[in-house]
Amino acid sequence: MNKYFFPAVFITTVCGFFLYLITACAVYGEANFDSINFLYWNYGAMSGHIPYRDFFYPYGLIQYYLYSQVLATFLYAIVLSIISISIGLYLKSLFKNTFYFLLSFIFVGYFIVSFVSIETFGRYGSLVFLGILMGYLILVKKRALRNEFLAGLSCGVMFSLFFDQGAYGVLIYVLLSFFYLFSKKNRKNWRKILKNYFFYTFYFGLGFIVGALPFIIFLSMHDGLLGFFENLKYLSGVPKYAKVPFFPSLKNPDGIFVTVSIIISTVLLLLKSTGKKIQMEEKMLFVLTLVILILQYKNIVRPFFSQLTFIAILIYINSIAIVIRDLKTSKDLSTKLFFVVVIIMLIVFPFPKPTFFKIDNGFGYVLNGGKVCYTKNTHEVYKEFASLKDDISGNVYSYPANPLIYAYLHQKLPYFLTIYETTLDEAQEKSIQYIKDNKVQTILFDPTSEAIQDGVPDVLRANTLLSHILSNFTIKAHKGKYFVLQKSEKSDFFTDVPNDKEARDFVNRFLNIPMGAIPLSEGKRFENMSDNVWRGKVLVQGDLVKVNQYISNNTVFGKQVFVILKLQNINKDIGLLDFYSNKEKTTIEFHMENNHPWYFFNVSRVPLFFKDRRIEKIDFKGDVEIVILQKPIDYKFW
Amino acid sequence: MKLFTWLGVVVLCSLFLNEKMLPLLIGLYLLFTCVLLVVPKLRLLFLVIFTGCIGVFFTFLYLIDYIRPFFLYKTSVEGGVGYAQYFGYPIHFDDLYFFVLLSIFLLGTLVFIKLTKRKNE
Repeated sequence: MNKYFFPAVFITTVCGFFLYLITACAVYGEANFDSINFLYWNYGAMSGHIPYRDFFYPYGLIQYYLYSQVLATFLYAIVLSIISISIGLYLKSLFKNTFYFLLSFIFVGYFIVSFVSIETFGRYGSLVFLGILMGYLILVKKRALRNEFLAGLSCGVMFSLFFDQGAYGVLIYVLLSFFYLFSKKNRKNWRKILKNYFFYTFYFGLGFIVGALPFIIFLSMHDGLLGFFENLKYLSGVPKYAKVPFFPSLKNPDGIFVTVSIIISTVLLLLKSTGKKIQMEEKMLFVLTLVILILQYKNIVRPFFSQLTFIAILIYINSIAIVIRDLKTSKDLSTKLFFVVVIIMLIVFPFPKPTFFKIDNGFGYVLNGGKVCYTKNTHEVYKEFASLKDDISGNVYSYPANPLIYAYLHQKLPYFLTIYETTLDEAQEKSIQYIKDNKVQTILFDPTSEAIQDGVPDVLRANTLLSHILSNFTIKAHKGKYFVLQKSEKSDFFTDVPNDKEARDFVNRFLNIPMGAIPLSEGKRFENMSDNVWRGKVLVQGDLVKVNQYISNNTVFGKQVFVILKLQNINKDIGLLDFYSNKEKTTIEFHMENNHPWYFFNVSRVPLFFKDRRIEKIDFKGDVEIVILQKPIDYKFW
Repeated sequence: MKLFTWLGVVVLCSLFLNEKMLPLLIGLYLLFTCVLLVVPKLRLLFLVIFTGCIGVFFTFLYLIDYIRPFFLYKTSVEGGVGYAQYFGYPIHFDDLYFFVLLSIFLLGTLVFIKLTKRKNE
């Protein structure tokens, strides 16, 4: 092959991708809870905000600046070209016969264009590239210090550009290194092996630091390095709160395909592991399986299978390449026919089209500076903001999530965009600090925005933040879906309510609290806790009459107590506990279970008791023993 | 090879019969062809055992929504409330479940391969 072939292909693909990206705009189909963040980040990049320092940002710099800096667009085009060429070379190495290579190459190209958005390809393709590269450098080629440095450099560069993909790359390196270490047949000279292992790791680390230097320098120059480490702390807390049961899936075609590809590759690898020599194809299959298993973790936030299908396709083609190689019938017509049938199957397989945002050159969108295209839906959001202009005064905070308002008002951005990211305690405190520091006068409350909470009511998700809002703001106006809350420390959210039905209904949503399984799981923790550990003082214990007698004769502030129910004869799934205070009644709905008698309520988490209020009466239908405990200074109950 | 090719054609034809079943049919076809074509001998025995393993694996995977409630209410709640805390199921339970199933399935396959290795050789 001519020595100018690869440089020519590389330059051509870079130019092609660059021209495409520079003329395209990012299309946001729906102004939903997720895509709205991307719009917000575009605004941040265009208005000179630094990610990590100015706000929480879970991705890398290249995506952040893609639509606002030509350099980022150019780098993105280079990354896309490298990924495409590496996949091409990888397919070429799988098939010695040109027929299979060409057919698989054309199919993979068609699949990426049709079913994978260019952003998904760039982002997750970068990890595929790292996997392929490290597979060759560590498992296929003889290990050398230069190769280790190159692997580290690649991971470092990807860390600079995409952040998480670079970190996953390091994880793949660690796993491959262990695999290499334990696959050494001559294990007698452990000292030498470990010495080499140390040098390999050192050179990889050195390469990584060199690759990550631009990222470090950029953040240092913009005072963002500390913010980046703080960002990491919040990011590590996200899985705990974002976790939803999405992992195994046979309910949609992409889920089936990805699961099947994982099983195929692992069974094939097992079958081959008993052979005498593991060949290049098996090694690359092993690496791709690692990549897909690592990325499965992304299912923590939403079903993620559709973004993994192109990796599953590569795994499948790799598996077929092993089959064809082993049968040694690659030149037979029947084998070629079999391969054609398989490719047709993959073409007719109902993979979902990318419905999330994608870069598109389509018309019919409302343009903003030629870089970001809003659909009419998103444009409507701006129109809604315009209609609210007379009711908004001073700085605004959006709850639970409509970050576009900050772009609309050209306001300083809060560190967290939505209460989804604000779930951690420290994050809630930081958002409260934003409200205080920026002297926020208006809360724009959107009670219809439920998607962000994954079915978790907003009264629970960021309860501390909500407590600050409801204690310091009251309803001023209601327009469209929004409620405008105005700062008013002396007024009371629950009693100073405008005289209209919508406002009353809005207040009522904070009086009927669905607590789900929390009283049950916290009750179990309380039940298992010994008296020595528990240092709370029992104020009263007994049946409903005795407890109500006590609270009518004594002043019991809801904020200062825990209420614990011990139930007998539970014959329902849902329990209702009522608290009365100052003519208001709040009802807590909670999940009950037959074998579990204890249910724990931290009354200060109930919105009616965010402010100091007396509990005047408690009501519960059923056979119950109630314990009211005084809250100790330090406690670990929610 | 010819048999698998014709089987593939039959699966493709099923597109016209039942579109909803197509993903599962293609998935199973890809799964079985890939694995069976790599097994050199004792293919029939492997087919039976592998089908059993796949059947059990997929059944348990499908039943996860029914199995999950048995492990509910093990979650402690601190700070803000997420999905697992609100619905009271252990964080990462599904991940663990999937990997345990996959491990059992693979272990079974490995034991089978080891047991039949001598015969294959």
